[in-house]
Amino acid sequence: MQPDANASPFGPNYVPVAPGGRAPGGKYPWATHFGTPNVQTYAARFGMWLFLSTEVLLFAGLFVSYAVYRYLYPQTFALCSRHLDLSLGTINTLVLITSSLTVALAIHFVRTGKNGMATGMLIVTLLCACAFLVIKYFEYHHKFEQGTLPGRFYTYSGIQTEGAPMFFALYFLTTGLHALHVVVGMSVLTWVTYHVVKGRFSPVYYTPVELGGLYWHLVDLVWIFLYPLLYLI
Amino acid sequence: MADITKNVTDSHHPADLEHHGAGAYYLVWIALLALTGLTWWTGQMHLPNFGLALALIIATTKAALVVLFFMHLWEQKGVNRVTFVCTIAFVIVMLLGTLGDVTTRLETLLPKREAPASELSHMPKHGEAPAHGAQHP
Repeated sequence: MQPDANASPFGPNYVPVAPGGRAPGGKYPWATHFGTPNVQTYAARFGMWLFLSTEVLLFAGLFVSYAVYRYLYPQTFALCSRHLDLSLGTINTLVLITSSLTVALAIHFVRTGKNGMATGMLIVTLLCACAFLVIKYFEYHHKFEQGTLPGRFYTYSGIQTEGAPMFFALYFLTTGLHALHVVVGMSVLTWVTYHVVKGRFSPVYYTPVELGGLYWHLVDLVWIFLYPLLYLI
Repeated sequence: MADITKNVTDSHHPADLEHHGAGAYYLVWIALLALTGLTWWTGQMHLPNFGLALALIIATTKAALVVLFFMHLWEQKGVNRVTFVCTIAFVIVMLLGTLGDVTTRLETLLPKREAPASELSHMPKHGEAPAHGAQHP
């Protein structure tokens, strides 16, 4: 049943390749140890959902820590929360939600053969990511200046209740890990954009665009919970 | 083999996502913006008992919209559909298990220390310096 290298049983759009191999622009690189390209796409999605599950559990550990310390210091957490810049946090929420829309549209455009529109949407997504990080930088900078820092680096005299250094430890751990994911997501989307421009993806083959988009949505997902839990106590 | 070939070259082959217009994405986006506005508005009311629950309900609704429609979980088949849902279930188990322990046992081991009432009597609003703000630039 193994096809020879020159003929695909699934038509010219599905090119048999060795595992990890590439197909000419826009065609589906069918690694022949998968019974059909369908199975390959299904397996790729399964791998991505499994990976995203581990990511969710990674962040869940921090959310559980947050729950424990918020239970121990409810009033201090509320006090510290009101010391964050709500406007910047809200703007960042809107920026990330919009970037989630544009990445979903980018996948939609690749699937409908409009690679130019897809490139535009991916570039808007990357610009949103940059805006998010710039705003985050201003927030962090302010905290370094006034000394609302984790643990023993906490020097702010405005709030001197026990638990305040822990709030800011959790603030920096959660938003820091999230910002790291923004940077990784930007790298992935830059790679995807490059290959969309080079014409590697098409309505026949768009799996990497779809999976890169899934990663970006996860970044948005984490922030959807961080925003009310940090800024709106 | 002929059947498989026909199946996989069809644009609606089973591994493909459903084809629909981009309109749904804009609707989800508008819903997400509206829910962000709602949580921003209600979050500043600082509802004493219901505030956290409301914030989590809104956040979970937003997350569900992103996962189901932006991430197409709704259209996934078989194990791809179940994996992520199972993960969320176990996150809830981890959260409830830990909180169950902390809320029933830790208080007997550690004295619960909280800010003195005097410091908390005048909660600042967003953007204001703390009520007793000794250090204000």
